[in-house]
Amino acid sequence: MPAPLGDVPYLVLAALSGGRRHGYDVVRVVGSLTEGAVTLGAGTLYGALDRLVQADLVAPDGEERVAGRLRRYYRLTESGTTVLDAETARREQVVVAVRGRLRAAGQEDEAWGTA
Amino acid sequence: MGDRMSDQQDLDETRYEADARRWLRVYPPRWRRAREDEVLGVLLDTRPAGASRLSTGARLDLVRGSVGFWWRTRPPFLVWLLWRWNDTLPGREHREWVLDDLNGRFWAFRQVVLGVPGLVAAGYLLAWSGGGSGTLWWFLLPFLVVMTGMCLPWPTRWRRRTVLREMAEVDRQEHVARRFDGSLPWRARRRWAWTDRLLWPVLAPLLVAVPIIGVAGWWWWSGAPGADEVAVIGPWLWSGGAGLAVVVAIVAAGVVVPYLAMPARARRRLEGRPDQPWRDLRPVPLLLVVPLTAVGAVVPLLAGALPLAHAVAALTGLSVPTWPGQATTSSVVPLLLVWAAAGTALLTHRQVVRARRTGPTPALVDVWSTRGGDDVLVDPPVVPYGHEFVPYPPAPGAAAHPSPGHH
Repeated sequence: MPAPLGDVPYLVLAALSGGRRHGYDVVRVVGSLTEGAVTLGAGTLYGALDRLVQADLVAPDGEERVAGRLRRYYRLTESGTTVLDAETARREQVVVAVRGRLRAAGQEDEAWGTA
Repeated sequence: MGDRMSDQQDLDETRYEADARRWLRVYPPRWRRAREDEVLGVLLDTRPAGASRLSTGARLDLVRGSVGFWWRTRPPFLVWLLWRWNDTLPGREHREWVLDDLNGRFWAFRQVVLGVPGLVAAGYLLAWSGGGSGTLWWFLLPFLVVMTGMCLPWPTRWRRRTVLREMAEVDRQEHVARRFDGSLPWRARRRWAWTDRLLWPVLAPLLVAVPIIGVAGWWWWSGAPGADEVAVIGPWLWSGGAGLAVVVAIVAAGVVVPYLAMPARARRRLEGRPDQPWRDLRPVPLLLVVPLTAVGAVVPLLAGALPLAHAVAALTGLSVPTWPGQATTSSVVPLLLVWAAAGTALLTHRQVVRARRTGPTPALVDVWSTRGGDDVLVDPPVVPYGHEFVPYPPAPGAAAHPSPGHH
């Protein structure tokens, strides 16, 4: 079982799941995925990309110059897709478990209220 | 009006870019080589309207990212230690780190302060921290002078020599540019292994000769004039005749080591290079520094110039003559460190490790046989090194490259 991914690598993988993207695109997609709650800085983004490339979860996929700015594209690798799937399933399990606990806690509160 | 606004926007962007480039310098050069343009593009794309400088948050993010990068890509401690202390080249996966280290502005300073000289200095400072400020300064001043001298005029020449010696296994300087880049020769070098073949030819004479000389010295020189004034702090404390004997033993060891080193150098062969045995003897005077300095430590000691003796002997990293009674148990522990460091440095020095079985006579014969023969000094043709670009980060599986040390 792979180790759980941190939030930032997870969000970067999630942003790349829609196809190849360059750095600025990843920042925008992560912002929209989290409804503006997470704004990736350049240092954080490229730290995560370095690690993901090294772990073979993400691979560079060409580059181009737009208005004099270098844009290097990244894409998910096969193992990146697998890890993203596994991590999403793990997070879903956590969400379901926490919801169950909250529901149980709410029922207990109601029981206390009626008693 | 529109032109003026456009000009202002251009100016803001130019300033923003300059600020961003300045802050990207918190990253090591190896990262910047691979990423700077790309990250600069992202920073410019995410520039808030009207901003002419990075926000504090963006700057902190870059600093945090650079620290993380440095931490992830540093070589393991032992690899770092061997590189710093013994010039053992790290594996190919650390190639970019080595390039940065060599090209760094403070390379010579790191080499001295974090290397064996720094360790020896730290040990002595610890050892003498209770010995009175006068003693400390007599040691510290010459040490600082020597260290500064090592750092200031020599760095370029020194690092080029190191690179060539370690990576290219040649001893010419002309082959490598002033600043190292991807064309740096990274030739596999045999790593030293403590096999019997290497260990015993070096250690056996020392283990046999030094105690014999030491014991004989104690026996003979116990009653020598001035012997009472000598004390040597090492892992143990020797004073009086024993102290004098230890100093003599150190001198003897200093004679044995060059004796072993001489044939080692003489028998060194460079591929495609004519024999130049007389050049191979050049390090011998260097190794003679140890006994000469030890002698230098004893002479002023007997003449009463004790503080100078402290300073000179400290620089050898081998002996610390001092006043009888001054040695304390607290002095012994850091000196163990010093002796270990100095001993390791001396015994693992490639010239010593290359000690061969034949003795110095063949070396001297070689020197004699090539005397006056200028033809042996003809330079070999310069072979340009191939340029090999290693992307960063290394592609998965890059570690499968043969490590320089593996044969």
